[in-house]
Amino acid sequence: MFAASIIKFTESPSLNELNDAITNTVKEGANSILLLTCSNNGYNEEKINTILTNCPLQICGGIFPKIIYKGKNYSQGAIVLGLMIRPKIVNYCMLADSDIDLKQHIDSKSKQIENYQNFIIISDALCNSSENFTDHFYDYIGSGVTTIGGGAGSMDYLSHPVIFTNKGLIGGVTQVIALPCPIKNSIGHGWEILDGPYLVTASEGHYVHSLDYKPSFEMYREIIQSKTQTALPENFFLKMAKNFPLGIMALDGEILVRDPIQTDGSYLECVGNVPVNSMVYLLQSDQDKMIMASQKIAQEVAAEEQLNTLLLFDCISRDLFMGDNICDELEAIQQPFPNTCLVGAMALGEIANTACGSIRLLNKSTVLGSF
Amino acid sequence: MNTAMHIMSIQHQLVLAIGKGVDLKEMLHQFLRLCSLTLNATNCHIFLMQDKTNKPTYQLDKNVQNQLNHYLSFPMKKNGELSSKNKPLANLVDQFFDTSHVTQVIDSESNLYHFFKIADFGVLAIERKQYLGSEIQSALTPVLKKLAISSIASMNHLSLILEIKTRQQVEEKIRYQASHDFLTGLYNRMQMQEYLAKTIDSCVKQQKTGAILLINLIKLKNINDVMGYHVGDKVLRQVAIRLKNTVKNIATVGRFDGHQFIILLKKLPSNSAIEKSAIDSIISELIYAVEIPFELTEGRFSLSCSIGYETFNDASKGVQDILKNASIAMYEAFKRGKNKALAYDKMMLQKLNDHINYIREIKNALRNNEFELYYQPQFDHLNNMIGAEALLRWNNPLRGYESPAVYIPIAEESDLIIQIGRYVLKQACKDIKKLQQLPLPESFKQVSINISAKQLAKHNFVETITSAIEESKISPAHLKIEITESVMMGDIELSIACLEQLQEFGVECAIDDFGTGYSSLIYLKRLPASLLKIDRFFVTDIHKDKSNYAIANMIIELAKSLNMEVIAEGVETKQELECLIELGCYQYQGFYFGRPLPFNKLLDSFNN
Repeated sequence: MFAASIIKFTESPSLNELNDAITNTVKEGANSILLLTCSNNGYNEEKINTILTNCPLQICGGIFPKIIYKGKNYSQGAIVLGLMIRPKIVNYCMLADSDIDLKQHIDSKSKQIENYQNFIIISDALCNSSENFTDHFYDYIGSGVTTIGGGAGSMDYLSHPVIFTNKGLIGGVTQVIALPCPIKNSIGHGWEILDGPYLVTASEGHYVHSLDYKPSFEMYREIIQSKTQTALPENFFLKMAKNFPLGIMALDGEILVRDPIQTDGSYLECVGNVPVNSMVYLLQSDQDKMIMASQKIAQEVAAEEQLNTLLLFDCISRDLFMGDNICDELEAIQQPFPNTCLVGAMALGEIANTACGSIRLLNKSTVLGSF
Repeated sequence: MNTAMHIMSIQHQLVLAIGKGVDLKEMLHQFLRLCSLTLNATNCHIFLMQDKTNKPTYQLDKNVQNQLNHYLSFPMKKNGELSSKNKPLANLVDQFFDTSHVTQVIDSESNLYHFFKIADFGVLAIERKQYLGSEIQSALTPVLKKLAISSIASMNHLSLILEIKTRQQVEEKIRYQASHDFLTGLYNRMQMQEYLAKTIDSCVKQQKTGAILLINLIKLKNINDVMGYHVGDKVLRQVAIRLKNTVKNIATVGRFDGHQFIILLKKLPSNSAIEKSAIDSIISELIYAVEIPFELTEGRFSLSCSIGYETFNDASKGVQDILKNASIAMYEAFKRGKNKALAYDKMMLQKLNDHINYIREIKNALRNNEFELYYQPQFDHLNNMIGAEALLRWNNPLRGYESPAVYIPIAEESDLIIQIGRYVLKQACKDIKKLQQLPLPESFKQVSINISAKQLAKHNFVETITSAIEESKISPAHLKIEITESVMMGDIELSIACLEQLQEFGVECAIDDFGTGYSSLIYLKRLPASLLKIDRFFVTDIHKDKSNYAIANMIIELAKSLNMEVIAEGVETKQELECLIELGCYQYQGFYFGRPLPFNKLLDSFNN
């Protein structure tokens, strides 16, 4: 049984305060540091690199659109999570020339953590190969492992270095933090089928070109129009797409949410791959359902014994969907854990192993882990 | 409706994955990955029939021991253990494979396995937490058929690729063997000739000079003969390395022939003086490289070499001309002694032609019976004829009598000396036969003949002598063989063995030209020779020349201590004779007693 983690939280975007928090965490006897900060902090790269390289402990983590602390989320500030364990941290370069190269890179770098079974994965959300990473990493590490994680980055969708390492802040990587202790996790989203299924007749990675042999955007628009029975505005996609994600249904009824985030008027670009010939559904939800789903995962985790650290990766799109009411969801998650502080990040895509064991890139979901 | 569409969707996705790519592993990996994704599987595995090299096969030949083995899994591990090492799973798959079922679900130790046959050469195993519905199981049947067909196609493709690769490797090997010497790895003669042809062209175009150096290793044969070819080969490999290291990038090295190497120099300076200096410099480095003793586990071996070279800067000489000229120059250098190098000049060709013509003349002489034996009588101090040495004479129809000093060395270079030796032996035996029919003086013991190194080295040397004696029906005691000490020392053990056999047969042996070679006294004692012949060099003016006197004295004393008789050659004056008598030598041969005589004259001398 490991001791509880040391948690330092600051609402300030100041690097000095961050530095103080790290220094104090080190002094209090932490063995490693997981750092979660907000992209709005606008850290000076040179200065943050000095802090990171001077850190005497192993350091990991990422910059997210928002961070979560005790049932609330913050668009500025930092959480320094002082871990009492010594994880093995591996940073995978995601800039491989080909998928084969990426696989070889993952295979060779994963040897050092092949005996671990519990992982926190923080990926640079702007790397297109994030889902390929989860596939290859799962292929190498195997089923029966437990993972939680999310995509780091900012809402401007511009490429910045977002992963914390002892060598500084870096981009274009996926960071795997292999823990020497078990993680208990649970995932949920609260999205339900509104319509479908539709056959994905043409797609490439996370670009869906056609549904039922029609251009996907046109099809998507038609379905929403028929379901809402109102005239859709010109910019309906920007306003309404967050309410109507797509979902791929697994054989056993699980729904893998795929969030359409962009369109050129023909295709739909989703967060995560949508395989050709797969069946997709139009999903919908409301705050109550989403909060209920989050309550459920919190209760599942609370049923477990180990509660040293409670780490949440909640999709930023839920924040956009719920607005200020996101606090209700976060409080609902915190509620079963009166003595444990909930920390986490609002992420650009979540990572977790599903019920069948495979590690998946999720959208619009909530991933809660305790260790 | 939705379920049916869902199943069709899964079916299509899987079928689509099968068609992608021809690489079996890649194709199956993609398929398993998609199986895992669409069927919500924890782990998916493929087992295939594999031959003894673990190559997947679909051809089930009962005579060949193929086995169903794990081939691929997605993901590779379960709970940290590699699926390829999951023996319980492998056993279950084996059991299923042996049944007639096409599909089977097995719940074993909290693992739920769905097995599907891939034709008759493989099994797809899907691990899930829940049962796969019967509809989806049925929907997988066409998927598995396609999987089997595509797997066969991929295996065929793989075999084809392997076949092509093997053929390419064989072709590459053949190409290499055709252009390289198998022993040293250097270019072979054919390849060097090709390079030479190209170099001639480029030298002509660029107005540069090139050169061909032919290097002949001296004494390599000795290493082969004494230590065996495996040691000689090791030395050759070392020589090849040294030559390559010596010339580095400035020249191309090849093996020309057994103990000859060839070096092609390109782009030499066009100034002839600088060119010669450059070649000389390389030659001296090459000679030095060969001269350094070779340290092998079998011992330390020394070699020397002779080098001949020819240069070229225009198209007047072709490849064969240049090689021939370099070879002639090498031969000339060889004749001048070890570690000599010579450039080709036209006179060499003339000399060589003369040499070749002379060899031809010797051959003709043998064919036309132009050789005859003369006999130089040998006497004791009481002037009794004790024997005679058979001496070869060649009465050349054009030039009259040729000096043996000219034609014997030439005959020794080639195998002609063997033929000449055979003639001498046979003729001497015939003559002895005739002598035996005469009332010879009691003092006359035998006729001696000279044996060359090549004769002695022949494996059937002893047999040749004994056969000749037996065929002529003469007494072996009437024939004595004379072998120079340097010939004997060439392979002393062989000499001892041969002479012992001949001694046993009754043929005596004399050591000829004693004092001019390098006899080892230890071996001398072991040699079954009965006579030492003091070389004429030490007899000439023995009464005046103190050093000759001293040497002759030493030889006579040595013979006495070894219980050997001693005879002096080249006795020409009474003073020399008296001096020899004074020293204790009582057998002689020389003009003082008589010149070599034709056999008839020798017969006459007995009749008179």
